[in-house]
Amino acid sequence: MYMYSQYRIQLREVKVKKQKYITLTRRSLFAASVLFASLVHAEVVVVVGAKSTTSSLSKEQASDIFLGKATALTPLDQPESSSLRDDFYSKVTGKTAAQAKSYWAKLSFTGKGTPPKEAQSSTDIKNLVSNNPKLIGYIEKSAVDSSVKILFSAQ
Amino acid sequence: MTRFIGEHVKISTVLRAMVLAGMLPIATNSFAAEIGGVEFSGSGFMTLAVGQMLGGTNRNVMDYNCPCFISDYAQAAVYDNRSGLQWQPDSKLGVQGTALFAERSFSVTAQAVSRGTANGGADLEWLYGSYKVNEQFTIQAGRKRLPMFYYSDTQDIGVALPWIHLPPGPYGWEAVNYNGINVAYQSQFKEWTTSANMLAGSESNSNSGYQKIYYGRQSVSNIQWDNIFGGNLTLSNDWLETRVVYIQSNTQEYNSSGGWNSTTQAYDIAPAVIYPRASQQIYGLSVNSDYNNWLLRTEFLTIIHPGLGYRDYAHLIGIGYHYGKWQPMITGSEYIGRMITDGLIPPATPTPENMQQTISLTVRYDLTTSSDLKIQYDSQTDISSPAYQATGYDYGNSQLVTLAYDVVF
Repeated sequence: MYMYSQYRIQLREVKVKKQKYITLTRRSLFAASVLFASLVHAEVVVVVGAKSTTSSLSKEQASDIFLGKATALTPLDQPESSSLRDDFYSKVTGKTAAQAKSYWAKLSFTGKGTPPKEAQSSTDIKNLVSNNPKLIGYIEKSAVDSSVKILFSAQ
Repeated sequence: MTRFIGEHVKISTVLRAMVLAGMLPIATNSFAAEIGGVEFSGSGFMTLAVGQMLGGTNRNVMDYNCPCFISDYAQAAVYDNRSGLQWQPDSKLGVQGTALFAERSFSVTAQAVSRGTANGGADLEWLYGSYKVNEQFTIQAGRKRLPMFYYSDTQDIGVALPWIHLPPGPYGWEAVNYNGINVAYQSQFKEWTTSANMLAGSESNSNSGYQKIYYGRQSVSNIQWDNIFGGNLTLSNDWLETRVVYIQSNTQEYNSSGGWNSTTQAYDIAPAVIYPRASQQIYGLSVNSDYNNWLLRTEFLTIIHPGLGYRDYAHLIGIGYHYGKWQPMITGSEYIGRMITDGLIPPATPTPENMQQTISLTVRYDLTTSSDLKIQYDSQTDISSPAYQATGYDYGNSQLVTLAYDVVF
């Protein structure tokens, strides 16, 4: 009998621990999925240096700059490996990053334009645009600081 | 047999060079440097393609053992009935360098392309100076592509094309470059972009690839296009692009080596005039769209040769769909060469007619933003008149499958 009740108590404790573990695991998974989703679908913002005289852009104007149709500002790209690049091009230009590259290949190999220079990271883009008012880039909203100014936010 | 062994040795050499050259950009990417106020930049593109004939009309045409699929007339790129996979016709490696001078208003651009069809030999396709007068006007002088078609400028850059090879009917021509001057105009009005070019110049090719298809692999033919004059106008917005083109020139072609004689199965010694000097007028229309995930490509071309008594008609229509990184596409194209009076007295006899129809199925997969894999199936049906089929120039039907890797760097 004793053995049995002890066994029940132990069993209940194991169940409680297991439940806590499951709850913890579920919470962790949920938090991880939220984090992952936020990374995959991070809000992308188009930025210039804080001292730039440009104050805002429409989606079409941003698209024109990054597809070489408007040349007042010089665009900077995220690295090829960045998921932000895919996000930006699909939200702003309606093209995938690969389609945008194909589009630029057509222009650059026929002397009709120079593709955006590739920066190394969002930090690199912030440094470059804050030191040159002619440059424009895009970064995740969470990376925005006082060195840059948001011109357009792609939801 | 010796010839084939020789070609295979050269192909492997070319491929090694191409693969090495392809690996280099993966490691180094494009480059840019500034020296003495001049900004130098370099970039490139490569297509490694392999094809296999699946069937078609078994016959010898010139010294080609067919069935044959002509993937690029200008380069004499022909898949034929030899056993094994064929790398030569569509594989190519291009490098481009640009020097941008102070104030960024003047630049010099050069582009060289090494081709499998030339056993790795390189040709200078572009070499021109460009002066940007203002935001709207740019003046260019030197060697450039002749803008007969929507994809003329990018015909070698696989990443910028939805196909492995351009539909050969519409895109099969003797001249693809010219030496001369071009004035380019570009402006933006609301959502519409307008771009226009006016060009003048000439082209001379002393060893035409195009005429090797009709005079034999080893033949040497000369083509001259002079007094080239014309222009194109493109209107585009986010989802629609329309382009019209008009180019006129004088043409003259002769064979200097003697052509293949099907009766003697050897090259004739006597050279021959292919076409005497005559004028031509080229009219082209293209309407293209990228709407949501759909892709539409169309081209319509007519060439009138008033002094030669024939006209060329060529057209294509292609429909594709973007599905993530995948892009399946179906394309139909047709070429018609038709005898026609066009002011000749007495009128030309309205035969023979040279006609081919091609259906192409292509699937593209974007590996990275700079590279893709494509697989393409082409089926060409010869519907030429019996009179043309009897000329000995008729290549008949063919089915081809090709696989390609494209990259820009």
